Amino acid sequence: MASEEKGQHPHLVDDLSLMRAIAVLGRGAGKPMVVELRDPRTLEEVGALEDAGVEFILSREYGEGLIAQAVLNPGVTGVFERLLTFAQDTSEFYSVPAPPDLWGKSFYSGRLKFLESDSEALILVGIDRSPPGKPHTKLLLNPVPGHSGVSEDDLILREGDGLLFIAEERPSFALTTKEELWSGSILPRS
Amino acid sequence: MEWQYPPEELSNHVILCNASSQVRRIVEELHSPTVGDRPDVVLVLQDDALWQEHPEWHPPQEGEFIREHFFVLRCAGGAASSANLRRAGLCAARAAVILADPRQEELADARSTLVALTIERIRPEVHTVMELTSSTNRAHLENTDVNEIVCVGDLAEKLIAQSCINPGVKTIFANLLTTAHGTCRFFTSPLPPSLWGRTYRNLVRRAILGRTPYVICGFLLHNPAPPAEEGSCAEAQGAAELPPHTLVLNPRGGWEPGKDTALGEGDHLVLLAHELPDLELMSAL
Repeated sequence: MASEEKGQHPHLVDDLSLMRAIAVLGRGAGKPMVVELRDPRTLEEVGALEDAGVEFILSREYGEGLIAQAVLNPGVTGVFERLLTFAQDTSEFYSVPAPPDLWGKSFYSGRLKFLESDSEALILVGIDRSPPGKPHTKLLLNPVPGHSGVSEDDLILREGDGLLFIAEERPSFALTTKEELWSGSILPRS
Repeated sequence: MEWQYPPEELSNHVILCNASSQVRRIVEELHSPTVGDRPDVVLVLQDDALWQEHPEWHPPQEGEFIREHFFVLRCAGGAASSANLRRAGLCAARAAVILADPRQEELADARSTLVALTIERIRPEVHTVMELTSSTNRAHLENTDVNEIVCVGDLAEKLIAQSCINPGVKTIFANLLTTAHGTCRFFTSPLPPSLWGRTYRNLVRRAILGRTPYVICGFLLHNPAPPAEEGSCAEAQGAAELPPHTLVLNPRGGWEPGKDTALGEGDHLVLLAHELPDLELMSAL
């Protein structure tokens, strides 16, 4: 998290955050690391750290975006509040491998299948075709044929695809290994 | 550049209270070509000198639309003055956004709350969005009529926590929080009369089978609202804000409210879409 002294320039705050990130990275890479930034210009200078797997969040930009959305779509802050809070009755985004029974079927078939499944609350909202190790970088969120270069063929699910859900917890059909649980990258509710 | 003073005949516009570094991006988002009904925006300054000192806060001046639809009100007293808010056309506005005054630093929430109370006294029906600097102050706003509170610090904390568990998730939120071309947004759209009485499950099924260009993610159940207070200008201009509601995101089967809840008058759907969703597409099936 950015630690801000009163009146300190955002670029200076970012310098301190970057120094800490480098220090943590030096002690062992491989663990998820997220760094909060204050100055958008800093983002132009962090390519090397991004390549090492560090994620950067420019918190101000998300706030500005949410304020504008709240004006255009009243009630939407509640939706983001639910999606960003990890609580017993809230939902989050999950990306898991597409199950084999959906390979060759369309995105719409997948949506229908999960609508009718009442054992857990899941909404299929997208397809994740990101390369390994770079999650959510090639994402088809609400893919619509003819929109943003998406074709009918793009909507056919195939082996290796990820499915993006809004769900209360990681979908049960996605197998979870002990290693994943021990790594701390999966947080089960129960 | 000298920005125009707001004309008297504005309606359905957005009032931004207080100049800050947020102004530029918010105006750009509201005036993005992907926004169907781009609103006029009036900025009520708290300090003209501060605004002049920071040209980087100004919306891009090369945009013709922005030059014609962004206005600046310079008056002593800023947005805490009810006269200034009336001059900015509060009685005909669709929404008011109260930005944290950067001069006040960590004490900005107190000033913002004063502005919010002034707005709600004049027009309780206007949709009010307030930027909070400290999440601990959220509790103090629970008994006010502020509709939506955005705490940037709170948002950052939650996003960082989510990113640790789910690396890359920030990309999804960045996509959802911009009006840029090709991105998706959440919409809250009122259910048209032709669909009243249908369950959430039935509506989603219709949307999927009809291959509508949106994903239904939940609904807002309408709660009856108390009548408008006397002395406000609500009745003359009509209500602009979302009525009191209960949000049900990702409804469960076998629960109430849940997938089999019948929706009706006053209820809204929460949809993920690239542009303003046309709910009548589901009626045609």
